[in-house]
Amino acid sequence: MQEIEIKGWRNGLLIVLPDTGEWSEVRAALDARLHATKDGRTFWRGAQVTLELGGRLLDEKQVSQLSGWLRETFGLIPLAAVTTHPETKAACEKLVLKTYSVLPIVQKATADWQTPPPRPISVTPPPAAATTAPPAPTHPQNNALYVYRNLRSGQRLEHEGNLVICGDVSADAEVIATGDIIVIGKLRGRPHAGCMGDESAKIIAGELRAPQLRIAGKIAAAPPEDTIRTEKRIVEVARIENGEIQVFPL
Amino acid sequence: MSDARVIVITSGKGGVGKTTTTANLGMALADLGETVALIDADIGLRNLDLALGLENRIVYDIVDVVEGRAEVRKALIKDKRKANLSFLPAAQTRDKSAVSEEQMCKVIDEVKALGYTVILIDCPAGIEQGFKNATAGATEAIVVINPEMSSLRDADRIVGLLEAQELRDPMIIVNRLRPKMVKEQEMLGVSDVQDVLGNSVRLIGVVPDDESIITSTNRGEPASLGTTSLAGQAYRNIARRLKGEDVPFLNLMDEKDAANGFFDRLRKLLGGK
Repeated sequence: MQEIEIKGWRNGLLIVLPDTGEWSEVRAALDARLHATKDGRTFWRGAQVTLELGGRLLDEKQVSQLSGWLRETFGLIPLAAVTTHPETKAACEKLVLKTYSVLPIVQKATADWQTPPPRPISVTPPPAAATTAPPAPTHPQNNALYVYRNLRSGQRLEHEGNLVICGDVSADAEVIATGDIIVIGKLRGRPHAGCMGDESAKIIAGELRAPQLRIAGKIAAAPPEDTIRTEKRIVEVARIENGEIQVFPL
Repeated sequence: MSDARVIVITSGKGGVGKTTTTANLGMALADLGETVALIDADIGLRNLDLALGLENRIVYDIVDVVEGRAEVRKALIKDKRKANLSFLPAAQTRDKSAVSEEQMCKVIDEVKALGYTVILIDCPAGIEQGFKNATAGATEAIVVINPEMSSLRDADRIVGLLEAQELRDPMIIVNRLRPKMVKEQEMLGVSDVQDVLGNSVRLIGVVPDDESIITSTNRGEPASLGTTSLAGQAYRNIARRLKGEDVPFLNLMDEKDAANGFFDRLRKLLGGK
């Protein structure tokens, strides 16, 4: 059996699982490989994971078991899968994993970073892999999606590219885009701009009232005073500056 | 009679007053001359019979109708006070899976065929099968909201789900409002509710928190029957607003006189329209 590889790429970790050999053996080998790090379970916590499955056929149950196990045992966050098998692809999509048939080309530009993640050094908590990645090379994203409706609580909108919502985004609605997120109305939901690691992505809202902002691998919680209702209505933009998400008037 | 209005009364969150609202609106609409059928879609957790005080009269329920043991005509129970108000009870012994969406639509069509002009469906709490059943045959929706964050969040989710079922721009009723607490900024007000849900939802009524509702529900006498309670008056106003749907905002203004100045004061202290 080929060896399991764990690499970093611009959107967190990439786990390459061989597509030959018994699935149960691959699972066992992955378990051993993940436990082999010094702190075992805690080391991986919070890292976003892309699974490279090759041409292997996995059903929905197998994929869900794998991602559930990664999530629960190691605190990893499975985000996407690279697969050439159509049924595996369908299974992954059902479980809202993003799928690719080949890994997006952009990650080749960061080839020098494609080494296994650093082993934990003594007591310092390992940073989430996504935050240690160098900024992804920016590339034009011209495929904006315009949405002319409100997003209600519990609804989720994902788009590859920039996302423009002409309406409100309610609390607990999720908006996820690889590029910028622009909300013409009130943004009270949970936006994740640059979800594939683009740190230049921005979140712009007519009324920015999100409890939490996510851009690339960064997360910022709104300060408590922001949750208090204010009468001000100014357009604001959130972007990464000095390595942190900051909000400015547009 | 395909032009009957089929209105689902829903909320997402439990305990906000869906059943009480259904009973009261049904009674008030019947009082205004509509031929009203109430359907309890909360299969397994039957409650509407108690709010109407008709628990002793149940012979057949909706599951009997669906499974062919009884005709709709037989299962419908006529109210003891209003001859033009009928009620189709839920089964208490089964659960939500006993009825499918198609079966629910069929039952509603059969009720329509009996000549009812308004059908109110009491939806169970939650967003699972029971919600799908209750909304499947509806053409309009009323979302009942309590002025509190958890109810509001669930209502927002429900509005989204209703939109997905082509039940756009639902009506909302803010229930259990305590004007005094709103005034002291200890409770969300109507404007806060409208702010969260946006302007596509249409406010058709505000029902104040009223202790008499508890006693009247326990007694099985909907408050809208009596003339004294404030909540009963609010329900009667909502029923009227439901009938005069083309001019909803004017109807809201009507409330001023109808409620003897209560809504006037309420509106003033909410700083609203």
